[in-house]
Amino acid sequence: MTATALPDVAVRDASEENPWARAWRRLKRRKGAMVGLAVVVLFVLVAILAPWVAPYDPIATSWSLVRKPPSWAHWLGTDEVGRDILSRVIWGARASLSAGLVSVGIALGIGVPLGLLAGYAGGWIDSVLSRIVDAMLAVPFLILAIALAAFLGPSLSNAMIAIGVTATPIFVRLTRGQTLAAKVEDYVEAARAVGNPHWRIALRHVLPNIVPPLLVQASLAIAGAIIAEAALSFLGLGQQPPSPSWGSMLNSAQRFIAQAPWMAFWPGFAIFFAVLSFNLLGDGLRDALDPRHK
Amino acid sequence: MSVLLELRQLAVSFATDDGTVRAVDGIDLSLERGRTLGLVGESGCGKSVTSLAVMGLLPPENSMVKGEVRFEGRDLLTLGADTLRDMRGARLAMIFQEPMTSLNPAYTVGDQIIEAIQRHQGLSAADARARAIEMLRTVRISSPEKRIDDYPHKLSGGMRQRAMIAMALACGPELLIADEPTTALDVTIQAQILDLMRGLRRDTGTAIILITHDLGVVAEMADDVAVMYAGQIVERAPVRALFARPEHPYTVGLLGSIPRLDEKRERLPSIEGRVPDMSRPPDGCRFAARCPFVELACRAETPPLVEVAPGHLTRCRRAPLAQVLP
Repeated sequence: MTATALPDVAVRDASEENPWARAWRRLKRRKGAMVGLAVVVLFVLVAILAPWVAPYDPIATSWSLVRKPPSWAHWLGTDEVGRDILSRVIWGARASLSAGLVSVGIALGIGVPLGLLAGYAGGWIDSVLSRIVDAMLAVPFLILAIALAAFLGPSLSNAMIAIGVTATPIFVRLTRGQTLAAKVEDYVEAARAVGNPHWRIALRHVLPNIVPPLLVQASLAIAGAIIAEAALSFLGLGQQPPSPSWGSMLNSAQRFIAQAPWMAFWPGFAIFFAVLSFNLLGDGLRDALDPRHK
Repeated sequence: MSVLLELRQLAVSFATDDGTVRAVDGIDLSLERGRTLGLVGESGCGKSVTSLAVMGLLPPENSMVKGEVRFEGRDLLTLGADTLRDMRGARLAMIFQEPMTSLNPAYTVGDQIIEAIQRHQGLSAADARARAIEMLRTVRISSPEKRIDDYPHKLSGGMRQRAMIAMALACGPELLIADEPTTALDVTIQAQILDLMRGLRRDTGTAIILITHDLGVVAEMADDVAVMYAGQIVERAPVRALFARPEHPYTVGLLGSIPRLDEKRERLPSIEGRVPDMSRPPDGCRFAARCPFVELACRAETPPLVEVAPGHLTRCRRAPLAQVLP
C-alpha cells in the first residue's frame, strides 16, 4: 500500500482476512462474550500472579484472627483457623483454573485423536470406540469422576486426571460426529484426488474444519471441570489441606455457615463467576464461529 | 495416438440396505492421449461412479469394483493403495462439480495448490509457490500474486473452479477427469471455463474425460462420446456421428430434449418414465420400458454393443434407427 492514507482507510481489505481473524471480529461484537473473556483473563492473571497479589500467606494460621468478619486488614474476612480468605480465594484460583484447563486438556488430548480415528476410519474401530463412549456416557459425569478420583487417591493432580478422563467421551463423540460430517465434504474428496495420504487428510483437511465446535465445547467443559474440581475438593478428593481450593474452602465453611457466612460466600462467588464467564465465552464463541451467523 | 486409458468390463456395485446396487455394469471404454471423451447420461446412470472408480476414490467399505482400469497398460485396480495415491494428482487428476465447496475453507487457495505440488514434485516452498502462481496465471486468474493468499470465500464460483483446475493441472497429469465442471456455474462463466479447458488441452495435451448431462457442452468439447444409461454404455461414437445420426433411442431422446432457438415448440419433449431400479435391473434392454421403438424381443435379453458404422457402437437391437425413425 502507498503512503496516502485514503485508500488504506476507505477499503478495509477483508480479502486477506483469515477465518480466525473473522471469528475474532465477530466475537468482539458480542458483549457477553467479551465480559466473559475479560473475567477469564482476570482470573488467569490473578492465578498466575497469586504470590504477588495475595496480601497474606494463604496457609498461615493465626489464633487471634479466627473467623473475623471482613475488615480493612482482611477484606474478605478470615476462616476458622485465622487464614486470610482473600489470599485463599486468590490461591484457590490456581487450583480451580489449572484443574479446569488441565482436565479439559487431557480430555481434548485423548478425545480428539480417538474421535478423529473413529470418524475417519469407521468400521470396527468406530464400533468399538463408540460403544465404549456410550458406556461411559451412561454413567453420570460427577459419579464417574468421584469414583475415578477415589480410586486414584485424593490429590489435586489425581482429581484433574479423573475429571479429564470423565470428560473425554464427550469429546470423542463430538469429534467423531464432526469428522463424519467433514469427511464427505467436497474439499476432502478433492484432497484425496490430488493424492494426499489418509493421515494428512485427517489432520490437515478434516481437523482444522472441526476446531470451532471443539473450541466451544472446550470452553463450556472448562466451566464444568471447575465445578467438578470444586465438588471433588468439597468431598476431600481434590486439593488437600492446607492448600487452598474453592471447593475445600466451601467444605470447611459449611460448619460455620451461620456464624461466619463470608467463609462460604467468597469461594462460592468465585466459582460462580469463573463458571459464568467461561459459559459466556463459550456461548459467544459458538455464535462467532458458526458460519450461519453473519 | 496411443491408448492412455482403457476400461475393460468395469463393474461397480454398492452394498446398501436394499441389497446390492449395480451402479456400473460392465463398461468398455478407451481413451487416447490428448483426446476428450464426453461421458453423457442423466443423474444416477453411473457416470460419476465410473470416474471415481478410475481415480480409486470409491469408499472401500461398501463398494465393489470389478474388471480392469488400464492406465498406460497397468491395471490401476491391482495397484497398491500407496502407488495409486502417488499417481493421483500427479498423473490422474480430477475436478468436481461444486467449486463452492471443493476448496477447503480453512486454507488459502495457494496453500491447497502448493500442497498438491509439493506432494508430487518435491519442490521447495518458494518454488512450489512460484509454480502455483504460474498455474493461477495459466487459468487466467488476474493478479495471481495476490489471489494466491485469498481464502476461498473471497472468490466467485468461476474463480474457484479456475483455482480447482489450476490445482488439478499443477503436476501436469496425463488424464483429467472433469465431473460436471460447469454445471454449477452461470452460463457466461460456463463458456469461459470451457474455453479455458479447451486452451489447456491444446497447450498441455492432457486427455480429458468430461462427465456431463449437457449435450451442448459435449458438442463443444468432446472428440468422442459415450452415452450411459442405467450403468451401461448404450452408445459410443465420434462426436459428429453421434449428433448427426444417433443410433440409440435414448440418445435420440436426449438430443430431442435440448432446447433449440430455431424451432418453436410448446414444450420440450421429454423421455417418459424413469431410470430402472438398479438393485433389480430389468431383463433385456434396460431402456425398453421407456423406448418408443420397443418390440417384444427387446425385453428378452440384453442387446450387445454392435458396430453400426466405423467407430459407432450402439446397444440397440433395432439399429440402424434410420429404418424405424419417422
